[in-house]
Amino acid sequence: MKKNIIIILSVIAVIFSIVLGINYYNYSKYNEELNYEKDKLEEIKNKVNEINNNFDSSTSNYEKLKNDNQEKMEEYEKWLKRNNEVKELLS
Amino acid sequence: MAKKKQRSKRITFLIYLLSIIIVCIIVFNIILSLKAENIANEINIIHNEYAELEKELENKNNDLTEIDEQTKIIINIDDNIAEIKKEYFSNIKTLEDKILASESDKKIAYLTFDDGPYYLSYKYLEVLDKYDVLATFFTIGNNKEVCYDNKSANCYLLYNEEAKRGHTMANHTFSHGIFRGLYSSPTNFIEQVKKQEELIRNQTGVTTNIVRFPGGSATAGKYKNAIIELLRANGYGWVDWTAATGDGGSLASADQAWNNFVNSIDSNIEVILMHDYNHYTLEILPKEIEYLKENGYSLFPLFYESNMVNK
Repeated sequence: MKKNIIIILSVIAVIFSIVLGINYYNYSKYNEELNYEKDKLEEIKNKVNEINNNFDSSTSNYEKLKNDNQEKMEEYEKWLKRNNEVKELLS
Repeated sequence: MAKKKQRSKRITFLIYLLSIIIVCIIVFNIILSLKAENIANEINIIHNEYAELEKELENKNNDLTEIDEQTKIIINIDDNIAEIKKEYFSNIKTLEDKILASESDKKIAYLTFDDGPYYLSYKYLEVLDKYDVLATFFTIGNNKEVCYDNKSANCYLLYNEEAKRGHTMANHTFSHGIFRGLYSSPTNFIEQVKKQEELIRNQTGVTTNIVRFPGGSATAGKYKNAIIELLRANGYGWVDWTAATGDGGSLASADQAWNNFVNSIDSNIEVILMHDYNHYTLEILPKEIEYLKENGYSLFPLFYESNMVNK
């Protein structure tokens, strides 16, 4: 009777060990994936920072140019509006 | 018997040991599963963050492209204004063509003012500004360093006032000397045209190639065709008019100007002759603009390619 119990327990132990092995394998894989995703995230964060810096410098450059050429910009916008009005007459 | 007992004890120990091992394995399994679940959640969070950042990156990229395009427009602002003006006039030409081919029921009116600038032209500009209407000024140059109607003012300044608002600067000869030899020869006429073209260019930076004969083309008499040939050879187009307030002659009242104006409006494309020195015309100008708009006319400044400009 006790012998049977030992056999059953051994089989259970072997099965659970296999499951443990599989779980460990999955865990390692997840860990690797996590590290990869973290690196990727860091990369995209750097990209966002870079584009934010570019955006800020482009915006300030644009604002400066816009202020320096305000009159011309207003003239351009007026002609744009006039042109759109004629386009509407054509449509 | 003692041996049997000992064996039984060993088996019991083995059972305990196996049980403990199994429990340990189960515990490890649970711990690993929990950790794996945590990592999976963390990866999910990173994926979400990643998606948000990608969206932000895309939006920023779009904004950056937009800003870059706007910046390019400003850097090349003069070219862009020239380009959009070219497109604007090209679209009006297309509209004219459609109207003339009866493919469109739209109407066009070109307000034109001869003989200026005068000091009174400032008032004309105010009315045009108020109605956001562009017109055409057929300017002359003789003695304009002093305004005829305000000796303390310099009328040269008005050329630029008119041009910078977007009105078409056109040529009515420098002297306008109908009775001072303007039509004595085609060469004399073209000299006066060139002199005025230079004056307009010096005052505004604009080179004009639209001419109106002082008194109208019929006033050129026997030289009309020769002058037209010379104008064409020099790259000028010329235009008379299809409607008028009659303010070039003697007008008795604003009512008379109004009647002249209303009675002469009968085409789908009108070139309306007025003079920006006339008080009666100035008085009825707002009413004229409203009348034209109410009757379906769109008001534009003249341009060389227009069908109304003879070439």
